[in-house]
Amino acid sequence: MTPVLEVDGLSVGFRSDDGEVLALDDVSLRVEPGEIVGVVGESGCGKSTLGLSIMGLLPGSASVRGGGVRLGGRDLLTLPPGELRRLRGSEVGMIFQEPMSSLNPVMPVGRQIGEVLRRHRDLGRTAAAARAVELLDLVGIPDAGRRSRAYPHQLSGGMRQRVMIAIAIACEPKLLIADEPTTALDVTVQAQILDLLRSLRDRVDLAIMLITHNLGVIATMADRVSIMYAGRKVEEGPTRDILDTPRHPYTARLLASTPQAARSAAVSAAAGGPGGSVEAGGRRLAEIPGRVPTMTAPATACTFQARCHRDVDLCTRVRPELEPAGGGLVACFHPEESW
Amino acid sequence: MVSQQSPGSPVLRAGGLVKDFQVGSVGRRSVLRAVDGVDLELAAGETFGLVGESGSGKSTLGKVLLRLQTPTAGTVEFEGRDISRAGGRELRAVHRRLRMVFQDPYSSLDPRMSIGDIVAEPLRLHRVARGRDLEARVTGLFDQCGLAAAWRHRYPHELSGGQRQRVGIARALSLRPSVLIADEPVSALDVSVQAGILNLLKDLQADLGFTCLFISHDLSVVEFMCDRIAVMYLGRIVEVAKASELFALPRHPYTQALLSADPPLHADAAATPRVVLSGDMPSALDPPPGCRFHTRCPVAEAVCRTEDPALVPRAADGHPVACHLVLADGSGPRL
Ligand SMILES: Nc1ncnc2c1ncn2[C@@H]1O[C@H](COP(=O)(O)OP(=O)(O)OP(=O)(O)O)[C@@H](O)[C@H]1O
Ligand SMILES: Nc1ncnc2c1ncn2[C@@H]1O[C@H](COP(=O)(O)OP(=O)(O)OP(=O)(O)O)[C@@H](O)[C@H]1O
Ligand code: SF4
Ligand code: SF4
Ligand SMILES: [Mg+2]
Ligand SMILES: [Mg+2]
Repeated sequence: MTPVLEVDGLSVGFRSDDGEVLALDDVSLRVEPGEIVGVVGESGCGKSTLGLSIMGLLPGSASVRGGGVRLGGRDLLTLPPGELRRLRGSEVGMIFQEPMSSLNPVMPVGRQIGEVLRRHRDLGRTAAAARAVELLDLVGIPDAGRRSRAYPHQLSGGMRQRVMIAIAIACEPKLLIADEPTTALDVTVQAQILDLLRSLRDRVDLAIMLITHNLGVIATMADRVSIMYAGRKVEEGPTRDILDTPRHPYTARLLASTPQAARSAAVSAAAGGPGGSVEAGGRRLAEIPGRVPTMTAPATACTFQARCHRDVDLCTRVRPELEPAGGGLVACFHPEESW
Repeated sequence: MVSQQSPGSPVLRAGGLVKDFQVGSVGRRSVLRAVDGVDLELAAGETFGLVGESGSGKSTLGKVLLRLQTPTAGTVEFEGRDISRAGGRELRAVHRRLRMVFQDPYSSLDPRMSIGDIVAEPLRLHRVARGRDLEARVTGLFDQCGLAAAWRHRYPHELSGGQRQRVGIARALSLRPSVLIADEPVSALDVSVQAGILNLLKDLQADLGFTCLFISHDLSVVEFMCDRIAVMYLGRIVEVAKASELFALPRHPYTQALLSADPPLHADAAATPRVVLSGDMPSALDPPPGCRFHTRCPVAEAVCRTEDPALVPRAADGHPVACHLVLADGSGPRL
């Protein structure tokens, strides 16, 4: 089966006052049809840049330094602009964290969906309006016919995100890029939107690239997950493997720094196992000392080296490449293996 | 039975607290009740959590308790004195003892002041320290909050989000308050940065012994930080319990839905079925009659649409729940 998305060795830089910032450094990623792939990492590690590169929405200050993107087996870098736009319109849609800023505030939401359909699908006005109502219904907006005439500000945050999803899937793309789709929403509304995304995957075999820093969201949604750190992909594998037995020291420490990890440690201590102290007052979270470096050139050593507890001499001199480990890939000379 | 009553003597007590806002344009004014009859007691030295969805009134409750806003009705008592109508000098004295840390470490710090001046400002304004003494106090606060003394002349934009939040905490603690209200102090931070701030707050509280009202919509953070937790929905508290009890056996249907919507990290937890509520939280401008949650409650009955359930102890362990279906022995609906 052809993957819906193949990113191959992609590098992207941004011009800034202090020279170039390398937001993506030789990143590869594959998404199969109907698969939900999570992309996780701290603020600034390049997650949005990856999504925007695939959509062809990078700002003018960015430039692709190397590598390529294939959608449905076709290389985006060699297509003429017109065909490129058509391919993107039909193959991939994207939703963002803040739906309000991506919607037109002075146009009813039904018409906004209709415009997309008319542009990409040659539908007439009436047919587009009818299809817009169907789409609103599909994304779970009650009373879709009436709601299609509402303006964005008349809808709640959760409903606006549903409208964004309707727009993104209007042309039946095979891939949806969801960049922090629930970060601005309340937990009970977040649960509704995640449910909707999952049901779209099940019903129309939509593949989803789910960008988030919320590990809980990844745990319930993703089939596979890629962990990014400072513009590089450092680990990838089936979600359960990564969450239960992380191999890259960064992944391991990220997971250990969550309150959930502190709770599990306390529970296992109470049961006589290894781990933290039992009483809540004494519990502490595991911190990761130091800060994420800003990349200005392709890495020549491990980017996590300054913060790593396992650091070996090689790590300061050579850049680790992704190698098979367990059921996935890890870029580390000395991965965690005590599992 | 300690759970319905706070363990020590209350430092801060709210009774029937109400906060209304006038909204809309002239001629079409309406009243939005952001906090609707809240009773609350914070015991000395405890960390009390407030959770609930956006717009449920958490921040407003915090601001009214701190008397950054004046309550529309009801009382706030601080160390036994009614401060609900305090003004002028009395209010200034109150504001020395009750301090707040805000969510956004970017907008809550004055970009034109060095971080040393930001931390020193409350000490100056309240004329607590000056000259060399002031310098020493600021150095001490920097040290306690994990900020390098050499950074005193830096400006907020030169710091990371986590470092800025440390500055916000140092500023809030500079007057050695007896109550600290932390309103979503880590919501804008990355997980690994969040860990440092939460540890810092715990350490400082152990050292300085202040009482903390910790506001957050992140349940795992609240569980980690708090001794007791109140769950808010549309301006009301619907359940109050010790953290361990609330997570082990949530009784209010909304609490159950909220806990089940928080995505768990590990396999054992992922196996538990999730309750997905339909609909959105109703507008505070037009709250539903009866139980405010009945429009989304999966187990609502006829009585819920007309009768407003009171927040009273309904469980064997004494923890208060505002739901008609939770019986006196604590049994009730499980979603
Ligand atoms: N328009 C821009 N101009 C200059 N630099 C940029 C621009 N957009 C992003 N960057 C830089 O590129 C890097 C990657 O940014 P990106 O937005 O992809 O990160 P992210 O992982 O999505 O972070 P977040 O979790 O905060 O959304 C960062 O160092 C960022 O500062
Ligand atoms: N100054 C104000 N004027 C008018 N309405 C207000 C004002 N402050 C708050 N509100 C309203 O009061 C209600 C409670 O708001 P509040 O900010 O206390 O909620 P919250 O629980 O802190 O939400 P969040 O999680 O989004 O911070 C909301 O409906 C809000 O719109
Ligand atoms: S390569 Fe070395 S420094 Fe990098 S994560 Fe692995 S052990 Fe740590
Ligand atoms: S009182 Fe009724 S509507 Fe309200 S939470 Fe209980 S069962 Fe649900
Ligand atoms: Mg981003
Ligand atoms: Mg708030």
